Amino acid sequence: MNPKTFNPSRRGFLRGAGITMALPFLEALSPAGKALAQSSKTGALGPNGEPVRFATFFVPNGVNPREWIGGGKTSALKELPRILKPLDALKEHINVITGIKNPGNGHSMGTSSFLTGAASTRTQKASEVNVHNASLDQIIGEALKGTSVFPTLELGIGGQAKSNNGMAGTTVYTSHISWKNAHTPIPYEVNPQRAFDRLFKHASKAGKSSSKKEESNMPSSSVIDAVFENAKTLERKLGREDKQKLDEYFTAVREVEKRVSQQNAVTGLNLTEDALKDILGLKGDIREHMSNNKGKGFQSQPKIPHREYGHLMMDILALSLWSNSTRSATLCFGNGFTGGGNMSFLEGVSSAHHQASHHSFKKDKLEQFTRINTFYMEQYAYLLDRMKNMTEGSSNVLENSLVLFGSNISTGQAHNGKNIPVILSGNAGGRLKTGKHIATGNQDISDLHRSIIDMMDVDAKIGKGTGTIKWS
Amino acid sequence: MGICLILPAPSLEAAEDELHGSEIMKQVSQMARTGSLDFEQHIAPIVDLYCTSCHNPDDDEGNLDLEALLTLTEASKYPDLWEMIGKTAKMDVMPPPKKKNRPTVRERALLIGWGQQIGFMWDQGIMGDDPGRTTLRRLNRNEYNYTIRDLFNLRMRPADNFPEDSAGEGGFDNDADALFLPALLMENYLEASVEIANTILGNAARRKAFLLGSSDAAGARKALTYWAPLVYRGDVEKEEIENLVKAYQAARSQGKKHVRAMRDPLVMMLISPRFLYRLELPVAGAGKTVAISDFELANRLSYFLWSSMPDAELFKLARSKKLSDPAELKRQVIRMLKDEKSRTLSMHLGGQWLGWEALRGSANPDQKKFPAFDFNMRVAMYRESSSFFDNLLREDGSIYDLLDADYSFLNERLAKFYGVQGVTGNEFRKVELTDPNRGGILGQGSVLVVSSMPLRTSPSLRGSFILERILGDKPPSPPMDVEQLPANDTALKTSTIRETLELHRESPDCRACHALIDPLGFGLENFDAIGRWRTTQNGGKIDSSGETPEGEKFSNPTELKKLLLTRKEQFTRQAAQKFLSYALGRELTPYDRPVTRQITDKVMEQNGSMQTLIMELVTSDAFLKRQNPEK
Repeated sequence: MNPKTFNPSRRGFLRGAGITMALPFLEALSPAGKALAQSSKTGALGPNGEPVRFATFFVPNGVNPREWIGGGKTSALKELPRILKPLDALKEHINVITGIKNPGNGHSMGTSSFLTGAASTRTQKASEVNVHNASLDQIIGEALKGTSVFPTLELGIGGQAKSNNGMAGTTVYTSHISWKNAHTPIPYEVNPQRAFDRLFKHASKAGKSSSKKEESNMPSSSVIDAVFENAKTLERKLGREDKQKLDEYFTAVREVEKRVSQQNAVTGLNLTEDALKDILGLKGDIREHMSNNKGKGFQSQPKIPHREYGHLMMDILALSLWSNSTRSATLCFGNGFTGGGNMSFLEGVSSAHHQASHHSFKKDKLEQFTRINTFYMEQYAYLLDRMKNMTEGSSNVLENSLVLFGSNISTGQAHNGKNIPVILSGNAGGRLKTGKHIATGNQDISDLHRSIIDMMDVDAKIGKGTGTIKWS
Repeated sequence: MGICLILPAPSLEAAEDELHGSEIMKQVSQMARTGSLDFEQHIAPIVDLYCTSCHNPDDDEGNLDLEALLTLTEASKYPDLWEMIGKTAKMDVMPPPKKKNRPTVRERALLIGWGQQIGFMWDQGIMGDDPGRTTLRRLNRNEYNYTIRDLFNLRMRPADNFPEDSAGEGGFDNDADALFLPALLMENYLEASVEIANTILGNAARRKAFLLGSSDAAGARKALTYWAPLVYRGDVEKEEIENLVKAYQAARSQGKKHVRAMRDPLVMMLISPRFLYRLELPVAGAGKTVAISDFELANRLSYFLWSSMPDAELFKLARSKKLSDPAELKRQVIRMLKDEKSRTLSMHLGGQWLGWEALRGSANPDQKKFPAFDFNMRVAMYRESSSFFDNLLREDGSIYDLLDADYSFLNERLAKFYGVQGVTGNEFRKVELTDPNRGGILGQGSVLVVSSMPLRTSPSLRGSFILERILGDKPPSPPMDVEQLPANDTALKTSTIRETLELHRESPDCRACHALIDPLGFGLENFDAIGRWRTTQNGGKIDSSGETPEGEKFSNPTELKKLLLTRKEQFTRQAAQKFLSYALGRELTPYDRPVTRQITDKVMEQNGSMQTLIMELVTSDAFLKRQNPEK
């Protein structure tokens, strides 16, 4: 589509999409946006009413601590160590937080606890899975439900862990950072085409001059209601444990039902001309990569070169935030064990991600691991840079977001959750000052979660503690 | 129990030798077999002395509280745990080697013996017998695709777009407890239901086959009365049909035409929990354990053998309550195994148990180092192993062929890759192997690739593949802070990975387990990381000799396989456990041990017969009965 033909006054050419050009953001939006601006449950807003968003960039296996910022006191960021070098140009937008403790140890339980903040119950059995509370991204998504199209978005690269490799916890832990509740993990979408279609299919059709009303690809609300009622009748016949399992069904129906009913109304989707242009560009990129993708049907994950794969997923993530498709998103670079898999595409690396993390602090091995860490920091920088270049009036998406970088363990050698690498970037619409090294001196990650919840202006609790991070 | 069990404390180095074959070990084993070890007298004091200083409710090391297990009643509940404790005692790795206060040979023998005794008592059903229960079980992605295929004769594979399913403890993605239902999946279900309904109703022939009756409520009722029991895979109450008819009528009253109005009840069925889940409902007035109904049996059978819904014949037999007749049941199993649909066993059960499923996902040999391993080779290796497994099922072969065989299934490309002559063309066929090293799954590219790292072989991974997947003998988890070896063999300080590993094992923390694991992997070192035969590595000669944890020596892959064939009982038991866990869609519990034991015995009597394995399984209590859940 030629963006020039785009006519912002033509309301409703997109099914389910409102259009806005000018700020203040929400008032210019759809009726839903206006309602949001007036309702008390908006969550944090930027100086001109922009929604504040939360995103997580997770990469397992830790980093080389010798090329990361060490202890010391909270201060302005000085010369960045080698792994953080890719963030040089973005230095004023990041806070490197040291001394954060992840209560779950190791690849398995350290992954499930990264966003739940609680040590998961140690078990190999899926029936005994317990992470104690929902994850931070889900808590925020739930609290801000209705202020964007999708309460949360979960993206990832690579498959789930399927064999436990002698680890202490079940592969269900290893494979999930997002948890709906203590017992229900949320898998991430690995296919950029599917992720794109779900978020932007209708938006990317915009401008095609078809006036024919497309029929919904979802059942009508009345059909879903009827199914729901019948399922309730069925529920009464079930045994106690099966009732609990069927709860997942009811929860999921309720959640999706809202989306279905929103489809036919004007939603909070925010599509500026610039955003739409980017979305269409991305559509082409994805098509190109997916058409090179051999073995459809046989291979369970798309085979796209790791660097480009990351860029595609980060483009989707950034655009979903910009377009207000979601306000709470996660992106995992692999499950908590495998990570990026074979990293030998990097110069000077002849190793898989996990193997490289077991470096024993030996020079040659550590060098390979450092290169892998640096590669992921380049990826993170790509995301921040994308968000920074997404303008919203006088500010940009990065200023109106919090973007968490983190890992399940500190470094492969120690395998524990003590002093894991953490960066929190973006300014939450002016709530967070950046450009600092924040030395917490062994604070629990749930303290950081609580600080994020506060800055998101969300009325929610996580974990049992009450601590928060001191930012100065 | 008047036997006096006192021996002097040995030095650590000699510990394993002194225990193995020692008089004290023989005495304790004898006592274990007769159930005469007394937990509170013989075992609890040892646990209290050496274990509970870390494994207590406060320190909770490894999330294991052994203080809670110091009474016979509590201790008896966990045979698997005691077997694991026995294993660590045998290897002398607990308390950690750096601790000075160590159990004596006598004490270690007792811990091993107790593991044997409690395991044996459970195996014999002395500790209890219970068919168990499977949680409400969602169709996984494969099952959803196959069910839609068989229900409507549609090959659209909608579930390929669903999020990946997790795996349970048994390593299978059909474990009910690991099958969650996130909102994204529900969204997928809703979309798929509309897509499927539109496909059926949008095509003249399909529409005709679906609609069945007149274009009014009576016609709708007729069609739905026919389809609902198929979609729901069992008896359907009148009220449920009427609910569907109501949805049709509501659509009509909104002005929709008959065909479009029929879409609503069709969509309703496809997003109903009665379609998406497999239900086994409580039976009012029955006891704690009930025989499964004939419909439940039809479903258990078809999802086990076909990963799909029952066909017309199974439904018919279920309706007339003849399926549970033992002779009929056997007839049906034979018929079902002959059906092409049973290929799912070799793909999903075999593939997830023995590794070739990873060729579709995580297996990732380095492209630059191994250009020969391209996409077609990946598929070919998968085809070889799944065809091999499938053939055993169809031809009632022996499961021991998995360990060693003089044939495989190859096409020209794979045959050339292996150095097998005389195979031309792209299709796979049974080929006789003249090289005894190549036969069985341990000589197949699939297993050799998935047990390697991207850039080199890993004797440790291959050794643990043999121990865990084949022998069901999982070594304890490695300590958290271990060092790993270079990922590429060009970075080794020695010429072969074997030499490096032997150095690695000088560390006492590593030695205990790796001394058992690695030598098994050495036996396969003649196969490189993508399964090609080699005799040298970096100019050094490959040495594929080694010994089993029991001390038997081998000097090449062929001899290693011969030794594995002397572990038939262990392998058969492992196969029985894997089949049972897959068939039931749940993790196994100690209560499943008697059934596992029975299946193992029968299969061994029949020299590993694959069909005996299936037949014994589907006629076992675990398969034919279930707990009657409380409401």
